[in-house]
Amino acid sequence: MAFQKLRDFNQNPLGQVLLATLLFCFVFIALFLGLYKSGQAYIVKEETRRAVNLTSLTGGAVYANGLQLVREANIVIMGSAAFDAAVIAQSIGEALLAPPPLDVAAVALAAEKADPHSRNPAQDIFAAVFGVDTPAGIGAYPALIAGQAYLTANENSLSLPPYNAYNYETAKDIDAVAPNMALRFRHADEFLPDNNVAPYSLMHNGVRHYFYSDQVESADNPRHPKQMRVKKFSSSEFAGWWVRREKGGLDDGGAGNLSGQNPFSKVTGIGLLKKYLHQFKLDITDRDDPPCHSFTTLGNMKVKTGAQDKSLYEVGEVRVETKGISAWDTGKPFQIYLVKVNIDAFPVLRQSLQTLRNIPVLNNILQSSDILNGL
Amino acid sequence: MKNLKIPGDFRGQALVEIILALPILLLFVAGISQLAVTFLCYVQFEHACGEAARQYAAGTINKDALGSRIANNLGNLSGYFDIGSLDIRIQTPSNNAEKALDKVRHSISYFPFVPHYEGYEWSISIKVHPPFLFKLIFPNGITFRTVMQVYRYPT
Repeated sequence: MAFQKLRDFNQNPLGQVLLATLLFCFVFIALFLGLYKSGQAYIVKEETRRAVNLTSLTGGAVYANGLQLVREANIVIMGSAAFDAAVIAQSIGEALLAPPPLDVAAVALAAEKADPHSRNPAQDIFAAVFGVDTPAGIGAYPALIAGQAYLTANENSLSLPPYNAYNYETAKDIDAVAPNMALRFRHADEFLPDNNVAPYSLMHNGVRHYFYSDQVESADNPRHPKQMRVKKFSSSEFAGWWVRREKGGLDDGGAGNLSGQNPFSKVTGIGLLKKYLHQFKLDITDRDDPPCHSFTTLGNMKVKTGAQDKSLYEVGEVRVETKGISAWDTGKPFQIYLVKVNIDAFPVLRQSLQTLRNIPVLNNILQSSDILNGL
Repeated sequence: MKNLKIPGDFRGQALVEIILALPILLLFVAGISQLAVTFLCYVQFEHACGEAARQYAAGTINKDALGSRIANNLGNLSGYFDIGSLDIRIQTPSNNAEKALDKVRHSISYFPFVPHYEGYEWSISIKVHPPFLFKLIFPNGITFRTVMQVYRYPT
């Protein structure tokens, strides 16, 4: 009955005009609403990008500040090491001046005995401060980086908590997400030169790995136009990592992967000396060579689309570069800059987060988060 | 029954209807385009602030130059903004942890040779003169406001 009435009403011109007007209004209201919502989403996207970039830059600034503090810590450590070296030199002087033949074992033993280890307290303190050689590189200063980034993300209106990655380009598993500064202690043997047999190398956790030309490719980028890296899609565990060009390295066109080998160790005398010197822990240095110090933030903001909230994710990465963090590099400047995020590398982050899920307490936090869907 | 005949013809009806409907149609189209412009202005403002903060973090400008850099970054849409109304205020941190960290940084700055990062939380506002239709609704203009925080390592 009502339908019939409506049909009759639409038969006359007044009804038709009213219907057309209603349709007209509906179309434009829909257009207005669509524009408003997409505009809102666009604004939130821009805000998220800005917040993520500023949080990353803040993390990078605190990181650089920490690396400068590491340099100053190295002055203390190397000062203590110089004192220790002087004491050792004085005590082994007698053994060296003894008539030949030289008793190398006696000299080594005397040096070990005479070592006052005055550098050890400083090393222990700075290890705890900067997270050097601690599990997953956890320390007070890396915690400050994470804390400051968290607070800045909060002030920049990011949904909390943001997810940060630390030096993920050269991190393995949990190292990528646990706050760390990619540092380690240098040992005295590292001052001895290596006998290069391949044209490219990288160092990770104190072990140098060599690569031939057919194992590397260009990692061309505006700041490092001649940078090379291990082939990204190779089976190497270092696939995608940057490598350093070795001076005088031979290239026999791919005689095999020399990863992990230290060819100089084959020379017995030098090998033994290196082994002996390895026990002398010195200053703090980069975990990797070429050094990798980066801070990445994966943040999100929520936007209301209809009845449901939607999260907009953005990633910002900052690289911190400088020419060395040794005591003698104290005056060298830092370059802190945003880089285009290599999204291909984020499986590394996903893998690290999944490792964290195996820890019961963290699993509860991650369960309530949609971060893994966001990646 | 005698047929009623309306004098004249219907040839001008469509024209009259279009003449009556066209202003409303144009009003809607103008409204949509002006809403889009207003949104674009807001996005441009957010972008300009973010870009200026990035330049501050990179050490290419100091905090006093933030305003002029934001004005420069407004680009083609700067005509809609009242640059004179640009107001930049340094905000105090909103939570206790940030306040505590601020105090620590401030204390450290007195020690020679100990590096410390620096930065601010800014509250930035600017007035926008919207296009004519929105001007009818907002005769005094629309004020855009944003808050952002960044720290930098002194270079």
